[in-house]
Amino acid sequence: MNEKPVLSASRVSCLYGSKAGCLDVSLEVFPGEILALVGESGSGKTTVLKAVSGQLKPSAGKVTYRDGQGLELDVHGLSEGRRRLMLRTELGFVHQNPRDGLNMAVSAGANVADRLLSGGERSYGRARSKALDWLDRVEIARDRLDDRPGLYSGGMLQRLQIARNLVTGPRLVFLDEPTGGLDASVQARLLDLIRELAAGLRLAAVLVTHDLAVARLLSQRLMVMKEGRVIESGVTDQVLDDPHEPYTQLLVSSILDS
Amino acid sequence: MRLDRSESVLADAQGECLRPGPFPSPSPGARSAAFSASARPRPGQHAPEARLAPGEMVRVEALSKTFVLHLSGPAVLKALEGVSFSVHAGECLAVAGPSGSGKSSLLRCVYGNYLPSSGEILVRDGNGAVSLSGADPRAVLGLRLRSLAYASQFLRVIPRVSALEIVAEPLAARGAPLAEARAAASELLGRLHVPERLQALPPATFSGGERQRVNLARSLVWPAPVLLLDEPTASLDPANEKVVCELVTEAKRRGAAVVGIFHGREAWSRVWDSVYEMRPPGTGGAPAPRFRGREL
Amino acid sequence: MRGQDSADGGSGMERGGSIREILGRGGLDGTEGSGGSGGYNFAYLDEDTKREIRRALLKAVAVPGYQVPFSGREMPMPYGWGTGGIQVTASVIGPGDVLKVIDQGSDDTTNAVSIRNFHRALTGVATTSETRRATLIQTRHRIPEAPLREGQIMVYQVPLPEPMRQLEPSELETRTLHALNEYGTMYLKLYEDVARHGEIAISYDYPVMVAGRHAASPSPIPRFDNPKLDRSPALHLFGAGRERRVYAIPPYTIVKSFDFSDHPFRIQSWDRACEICGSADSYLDEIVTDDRGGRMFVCSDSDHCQERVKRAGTGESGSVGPTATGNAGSTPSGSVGPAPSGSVGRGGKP
Repeated sequence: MNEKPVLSASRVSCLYGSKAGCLDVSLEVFPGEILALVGESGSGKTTVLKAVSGQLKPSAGKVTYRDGQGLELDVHGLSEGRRRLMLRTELGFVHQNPRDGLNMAVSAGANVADRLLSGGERSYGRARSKALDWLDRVEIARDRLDDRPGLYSGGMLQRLQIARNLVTGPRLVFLDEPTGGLDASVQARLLDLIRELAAGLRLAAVLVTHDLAVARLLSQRLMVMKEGRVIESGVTDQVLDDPHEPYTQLLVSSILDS
Repeated sequence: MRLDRSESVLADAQGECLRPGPFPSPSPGARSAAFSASARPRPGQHAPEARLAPGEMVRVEALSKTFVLHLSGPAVLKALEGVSFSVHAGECLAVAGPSGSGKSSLLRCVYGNYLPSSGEILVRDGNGAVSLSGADPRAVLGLRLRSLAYASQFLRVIPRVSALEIVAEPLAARGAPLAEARAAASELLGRLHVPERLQALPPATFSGGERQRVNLARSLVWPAPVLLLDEPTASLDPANEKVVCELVTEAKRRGAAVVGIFHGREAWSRVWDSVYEMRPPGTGGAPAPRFRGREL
Repeated sequence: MRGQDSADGGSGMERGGSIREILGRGGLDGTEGSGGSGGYNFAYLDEDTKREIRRALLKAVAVPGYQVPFSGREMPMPYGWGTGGIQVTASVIGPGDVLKVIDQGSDDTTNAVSIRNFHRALTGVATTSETRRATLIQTRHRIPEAPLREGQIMVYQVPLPEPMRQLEPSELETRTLHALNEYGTMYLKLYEDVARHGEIAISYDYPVMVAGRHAASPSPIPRFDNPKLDRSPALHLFGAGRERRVYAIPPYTIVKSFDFSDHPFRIQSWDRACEICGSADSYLDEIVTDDRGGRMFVCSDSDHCQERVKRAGTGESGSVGPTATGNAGSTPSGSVGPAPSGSVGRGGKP
């Protein structure tokens, strides 16, 4: 357990004009661990996700990523080229709407091969066989490889987006409401897939969700956000079963009834 | 948030030579190798004072737990008050008392599921100890990974996953190869009379007893140094209850410390070594553990 | 495609003719225009415009393959008829130049004729159809078969200068990708091709890497011509009128066609020879000869074809006539025909 965090954010604040997106948020994510950010919409969890994934430069604070070689990188101090390279090799970002994370103009196979080709893969055969391999892993039939994603169902699209992100073996993945908008049976299948992949690949992940049941099933640790601040955090089941803050108690009592 | 800072640690005088060392587990087979690595003492894990005696696995001191329910008033609920006991390796402590006396809350506190309001809970972690009062969440998760198995009354799992995968998961999470983990899980479920036909199904459709056996198998499949059992056989028939008692006795033999709520079930009287009698908070002083002389 | 071009070219020629009428008085023999006399400046563009375009061209030569923006002028013809190429030609042409204009390899299609007339009318330079004699060659869709030499300038008409546009609609993003040397998108395009056709089926406008740094469109030349760009002794200038971009491949620049290690770039080939000159190694066009399905395959480069016939007539080299044994019913080798089929790239003009 002398492991160092893959990602650490220290006192990050994001201000939109005079309005605060998030205030004084610190977090760490370790290899093989899923950290959930929960709170109602507008609580700042998506702002935090953007800030720690390098998409939004915070007004204050620092975000540090530790790369595969153990090098600490200031996520917001990187050159554009290095930042983009990092985003498509070592990081993954799974959007709530898979259309935001996929290239709908090319085939499913090309979507998965994309990050490999960007990373310098120059063999068609290798790129394609890795794409096929990942289709298997996310349980998409092999004969759908050359279909445009527009022909896929919602659950398949989300699984394709996951394959597209994981094909380069990222160390850290950001999940923004990954099961939002899917019906219950599809959601269960996806949850199982994410859990299995995260554990098998020792991925570190930051999960943003408003669904406490999803947070309970996927994450080991949890942070509750309200009005841009983290108001309570801890081991996921502890926060959900023994919430201390009035707001957390409200969240738990109003959502978790299963 | 550094890990070592928030861990209260035992600096055992004997260090690695701790004799009754319940961990690495003496359980047979290749599995033990996978776990022994995590049981090694870690650098920086030396606290100024030793608070667990040699062989002591769990110590609870003057533990109180109060819930403040902000949505109802706020209402203040006292669940535990002045609870103290200690469990050694190879011992089983039965927690007894009327309903509402906080038995389940106590187990949850020891597992880190409830945060203590005051007092101290120390659980052995290799050659050190982790305090569960105000521990860093990652220290709690690490402790659970290495030392704590908890069988709650509820099975909470991802809906689609098969019983076999659910039971194999704790082994796989501790580094066992998947095939090995599945084989061990299948064998254990077999002993608990969950046929292979059912093992392949998600437990959502199982009966209460079947679900409880899956839940128990999850905590018994790996050689946890500390076992917490919350009414493990409440909905089991005598035959299955007997198997569970055997399994827990085997765990004790390999050096596990067991804390359980057995609700006066006869079968368990052969398993536990001492009883801790709980009383609802505010109904008098904290009772001392009651030992039943049993020849070991 | 050709039929359409002919129609366009026809009106272009008329316009060329009318300009000559307007200019009737001549005054086209110097680099300075007729100024206040109401005529047109040498080569149509005013000197400031030419200077600005030359400046852009110098930058383009300095950064091979990089698309340099320039403030393109309105030309007396619509976009898509070669306004980019004409502006580049007009900016670099001098009275001593010998100009050749080809369209689809031919000097005598209407488009080629009208553009040649336009330049001749406004500059008075000598024109030729012989590749060897020309100092300046404006082209659409082909590079001549005869080897180019030092001192020659090729000017290409480019409809879409951005090789990644098909997959990346944002100009801001493509510029960023060029700046960061991120060309995964190029391979994505190739991947799609192989996945769909079993091979890279781009037959026109096959993207190239220029000097190992910038991805570029070679303009809609057949991929058959791509190897001619590599380490070419001539200077290649590309002008996109609508998009207002110029770029260049300076002499002896390394130009590599994008490909996969297991699907290497290869040029089109035919299992037959030109039915006029017998050339077995030039780019062939399929000509429909009647409305009963009769057709023949001939060199697309008409100058090259005529040269060979002429030389054979004087006994200079080789035999004339079809050398291939296949009859008229046989198909070209591979799946790539002379009129490239299944083209995924933006082949030819829309």
